[in-house]
Amino acid sequence: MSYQRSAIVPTDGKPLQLQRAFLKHAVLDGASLVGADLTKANLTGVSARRADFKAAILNGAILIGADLTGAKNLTYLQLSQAVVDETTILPDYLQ
Amino acid sequence: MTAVEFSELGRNWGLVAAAFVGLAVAIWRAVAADRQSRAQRDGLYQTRREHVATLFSQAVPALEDDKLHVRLGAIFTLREIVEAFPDLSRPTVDLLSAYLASVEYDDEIPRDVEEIIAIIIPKANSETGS
Repeated sequence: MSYQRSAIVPTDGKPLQLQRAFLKHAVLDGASLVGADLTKANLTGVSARRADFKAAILNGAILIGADLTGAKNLTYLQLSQAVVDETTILPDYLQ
Repeated sequence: MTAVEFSELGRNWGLVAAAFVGLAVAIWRAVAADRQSRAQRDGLYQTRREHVATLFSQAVPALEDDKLHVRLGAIFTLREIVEAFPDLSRPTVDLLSAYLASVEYDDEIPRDVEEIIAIIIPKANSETGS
């Protein structure tokens, strides 16, 4: 349940600054995280199916238990900087 | 030139002069009316802006309130502010992002956090069909 209106897109066009954001168990299915800075964000158990991670910064981001099925534009480099384990569900092209 | 012709000439020049004066007065009144309406518009904008600044500053501490409905009210207020003043979208998104860095919870995601996520994290174009 949410406000069901389109998200605010800042007029300056700069990406989201979500350093250290606590997003545990959040539902981010289909989200656009393009260029987002998620440094040290807690994304434990998030559902980020089909989310777009193009150029997202994942340094120290916790992705334990995250469901990244179908996530787009995620790279090995991004993942190598994040905290993942065997419970992290990766998109097919990264398995 | 006869007296009649002289009289007609004088009348015609008088009419021309009156027309010029009338035109000048009309232009002056239009300019004055435009200035007045612009001043009123600017004043209205300034009043709304001050009101929004007040709402914004009230929303910040309300985000820290213990009661969920107060926090949600603050979040919805911020959302409305951006609707009215898109130039405040960046500080609003940054404020709500900072809020996400200040919360902690166990397993169930709180309603206010859920709401902020819906407000600041857009859907990818392929999801919205745009």
